[in-house]
Amino acid sequence: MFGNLFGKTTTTIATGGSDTSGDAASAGFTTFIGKVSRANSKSDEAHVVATELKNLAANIAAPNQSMVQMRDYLCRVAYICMMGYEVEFACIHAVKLAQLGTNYDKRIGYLACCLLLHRNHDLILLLINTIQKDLKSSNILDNLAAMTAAAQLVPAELIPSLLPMIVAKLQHQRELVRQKAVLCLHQFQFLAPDLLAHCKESLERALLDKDPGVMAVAVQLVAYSIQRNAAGCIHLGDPLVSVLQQIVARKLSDIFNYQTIPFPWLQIQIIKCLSALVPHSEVLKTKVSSIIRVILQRNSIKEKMAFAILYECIQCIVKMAPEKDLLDESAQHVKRFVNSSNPNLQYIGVKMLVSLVALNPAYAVEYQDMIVQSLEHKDTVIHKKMHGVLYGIACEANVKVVCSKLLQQLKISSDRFWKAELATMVVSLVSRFPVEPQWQINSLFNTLWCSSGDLDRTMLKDIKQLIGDRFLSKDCDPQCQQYLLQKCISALVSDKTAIPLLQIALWIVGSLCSFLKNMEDDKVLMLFTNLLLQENMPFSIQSAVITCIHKLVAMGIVEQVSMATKLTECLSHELPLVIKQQLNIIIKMCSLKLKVDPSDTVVMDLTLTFLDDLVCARLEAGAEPYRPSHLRHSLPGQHIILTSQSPAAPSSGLEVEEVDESMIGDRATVDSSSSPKTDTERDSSLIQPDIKRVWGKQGRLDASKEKKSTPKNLTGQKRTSSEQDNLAKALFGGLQKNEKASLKVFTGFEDDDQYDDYLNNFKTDLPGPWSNRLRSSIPENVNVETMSIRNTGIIQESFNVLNQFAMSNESTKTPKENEIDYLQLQGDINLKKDASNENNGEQISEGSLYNDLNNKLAGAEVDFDAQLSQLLEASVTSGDVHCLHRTDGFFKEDPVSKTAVSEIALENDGFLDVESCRIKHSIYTDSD
Amino acid sequence: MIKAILVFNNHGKPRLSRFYQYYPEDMQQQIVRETFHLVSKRDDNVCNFLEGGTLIGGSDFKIIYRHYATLYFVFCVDSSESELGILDLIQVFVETLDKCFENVCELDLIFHVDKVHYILAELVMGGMVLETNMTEIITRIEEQNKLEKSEKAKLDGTPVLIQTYAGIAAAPARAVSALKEMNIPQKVKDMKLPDLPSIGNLKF
Repeated sequence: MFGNLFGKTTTTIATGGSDTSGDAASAGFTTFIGKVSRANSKSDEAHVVATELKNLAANIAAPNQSMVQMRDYLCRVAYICMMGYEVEFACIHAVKLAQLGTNYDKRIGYLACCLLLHRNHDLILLLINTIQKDLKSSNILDNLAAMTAAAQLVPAELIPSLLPMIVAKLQHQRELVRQKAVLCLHQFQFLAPDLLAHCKESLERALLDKDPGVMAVAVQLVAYSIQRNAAGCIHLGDPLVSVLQQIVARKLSDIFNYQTIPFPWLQIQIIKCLSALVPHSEVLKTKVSSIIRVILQRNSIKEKMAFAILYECIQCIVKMAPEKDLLDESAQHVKRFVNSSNPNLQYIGVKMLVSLVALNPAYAVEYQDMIVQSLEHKDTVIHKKMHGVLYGIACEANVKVVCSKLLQQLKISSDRFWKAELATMVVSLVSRFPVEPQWQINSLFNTLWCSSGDLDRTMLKDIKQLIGDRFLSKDCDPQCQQYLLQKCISALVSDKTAIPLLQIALWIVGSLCSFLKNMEDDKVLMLFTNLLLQENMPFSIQSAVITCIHKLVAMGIVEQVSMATKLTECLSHELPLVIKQQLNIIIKMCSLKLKVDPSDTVVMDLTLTFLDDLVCARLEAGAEPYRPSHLRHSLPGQHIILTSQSPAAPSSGLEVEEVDESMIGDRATVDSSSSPKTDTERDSSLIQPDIKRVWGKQGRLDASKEKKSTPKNLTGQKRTSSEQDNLAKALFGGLQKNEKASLKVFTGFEDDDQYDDYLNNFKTDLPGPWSNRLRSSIPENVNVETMSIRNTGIIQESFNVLNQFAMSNESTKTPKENEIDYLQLQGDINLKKDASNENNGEQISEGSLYNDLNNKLAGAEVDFDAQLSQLLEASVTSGDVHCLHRTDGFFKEDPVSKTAVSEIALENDGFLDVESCRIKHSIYTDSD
Repeated sequence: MIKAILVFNNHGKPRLSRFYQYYPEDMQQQIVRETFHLVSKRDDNVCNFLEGGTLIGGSDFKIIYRHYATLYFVFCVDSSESELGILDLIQVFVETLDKCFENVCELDLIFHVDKVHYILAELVMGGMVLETNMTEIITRIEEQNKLEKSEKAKLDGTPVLIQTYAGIAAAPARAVSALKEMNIPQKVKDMKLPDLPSIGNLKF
């Protein structure tokens, strides 16, 4: 076959086509092919093709072309399309030929459609009519051509228009038609499984069709259903077994034999189906195991195809987890494969060995030599598979060797998928066999070194979790932790480290930063600042560095003065605005000499009780209650009639049901607004034992009084709901810090899950009572129009700003310093403004705000409450663009501002809340 | 499922490409190139399977190929297909081509794009194996060839032949199978009624 190429080439070109298969190619086609084959370079070829395409385009569009010419043109177009050139112009003509042509022309038309069009092509709509017509035709060749095209081209939304006709074809007299109808339905099932629910029975009847050909395609269809839902297809087991029995007993006509084996493809397919079904039914298992025994006995092994069946049988046996003797027998068969001289059979043999050793590693023992040899096998495919066997035979004793082999492979390989697979194997070995911590650390780090660029997120997350569980918890061996830290530091120092590894290393260093105490301050600082200032460092790494530095400061690892000077140096370099802002904050933090005791537990006010009074005061003063964004777009001054109202789902034990009409204007319609209880009521009903009240009716409560009560509150009181805890942690990790009571330092990574939880709660509970209260606390003059239901995030941010403000107020008592803080915040607002202007040019009302703030500062006595509302307002309005995206995945709507969002997020956070900010930030960056 | 069937020669020139899953045009070319690159590197005495390509389907993806003189026949399949089964399916395909073109050569694939595709369409439809029986495929192809010839005859103005053709193609299947049943041994009768065996004998 194909051996006589040259002999025939000359004759074919000379005569213009082979005479053996009827129709010869046209002279034009022959000349074209000749030209193309003579083309010396790609550009020559492109030139020839371009000329040909120009001619074709002109000819094909000319009126009154005969069908024969049309056929020839389309064949040429198909050929050119195969060569990879653009032939869009011919599509419509293909559709036309399918529509207008008869018989043979029609078939060429359909063929050209199949080759040139695809499911989502615009012209498919035109073709549907033709397909419908041809399905109705009495000419079975038309039927067949139409079904072939339908299977390939019809998109899911057009299936209903053809489905009844094709289902009817299942009853056609000719087996050929039935066969194609089944396959066509199979394709439809791929696209829209639900549409075919009603004809499931007729499809399963096709399984018992009197024609084995139809049966064979029906089995493929059934295989797909089984693959999707094996447990629901148990009833198909019996018919499949009986079909298999008939085939094995050679009850089929001899014409279905291939190399003397009866219908091997059907056998393979059925055994595949059965092996998926057996784990779900004991009855079926006995039946299958008996028939498998028969097949194993009868299999002649003279033909290649017999090996294919044998392979499926053994796979089935492995799935059944059967009696020992059957397994032993299959092991004998495997030997035949593995020792074969045919490389194909060797490959299959190794593949079987992989599944056998997964059941019992002992089966690999007799292949020891072979396995060792295969690791240097010249065929990379077998060589790769052998590593699977290695993985299978790993146990406590040999896991180190196996891992080293895998890692060795990982180092030299360049295939992305293979690397990912190897990494998965290594990580799973490490987690299965926790021998020697140092070895574990080495293995994991080597894996990351070699492949972290190729690993997907789940894999990285698994590795992180493994490290976290094994080495980062409190009761871990400090020596191991030290070792781990060394590894991380060497990764951080190296300039070849891939980004994911850097991220993990920073996370680990952050978690273990107490060990950094032993290092010289300078060195520690250099470690981080070098990373920060390195060129082309992605934002995620820079912010991870910032987190680490935060921890160093918070835990007092590094002397704060040197830290401040070092960081001030960094400010002169080019860094993202957000990072600079964070650095500023840290520097300020250093100057305040803050310190946090890491041992304390964290308690958070997840419902923002401390704001209740503020909200109430506002409402009582006549402020508009919060209204969700979808209700807000009515004419100003007009009363809004609410048509649809998201139910206020109290998520945290706060009642919002009671509505006091006297308090707010159009409140009757707004039931998602904040709780309109009086202060006293609130005080009694909203007891959040862990949470300190910061804001009273008259503004801020006396801080010193609170301080006394705080420690009492914190001790011995435990939250009942851990869910709330998570929410709280994620939300207001920094809130309690201004009481100087407690702070737990966490990293972005640690809290990913908790934050996710929180986000989920958040989504379902929107608008939750606390967020409503928040919103209602926004003074009436705020540009509410632009607020959205999702801007709880930004409001939360603004409270962080408030906190920061409160904090600074507390720590620095002099009015002078207060003023500085105002200025700082003012600066923040400006930054925000810049950022949002850059990104969206959104309408921002800070101009006036800014002025206001200035005025306020100028006045000596400033009402604290008013300041607060100003700040709130500022953060809300400035964040308008971004706040929409603040909560979890919403920013999908606008990927452009995603980065800006995270930047704003960072900015908006007060420095004490930087940890929670990090959490959020890591989520943004992760979602990329 | 079969994702793509590619045939290219020793220089990587595509001779036949059929994708059963949609890929944009440039991606298709890239797949052909990459597959050629992978396959052409391999010796003849190593196995005919390759795993994991970066383009078509990632790790759940196998290449099964055979090399005949000047041509590579490559089937790109997902993990649900049996390697050895597909390997023999390629053999069936090539043997069928050989029968239909009477000693097939590379040029047959070029000049008879349409016919090669028809043969393939009888073998694989929408990525699923349709028919593995060579005799059956050849019968079907011959049926179509007759159709084509009769069309040509129609152009030449010989209406009689069209009549003959139409008689066969549109003949009720029952009548045709009745003809055959006489030759079929009793035990086989229930299982399969091969269609149109006599059509090969009708010469025009």
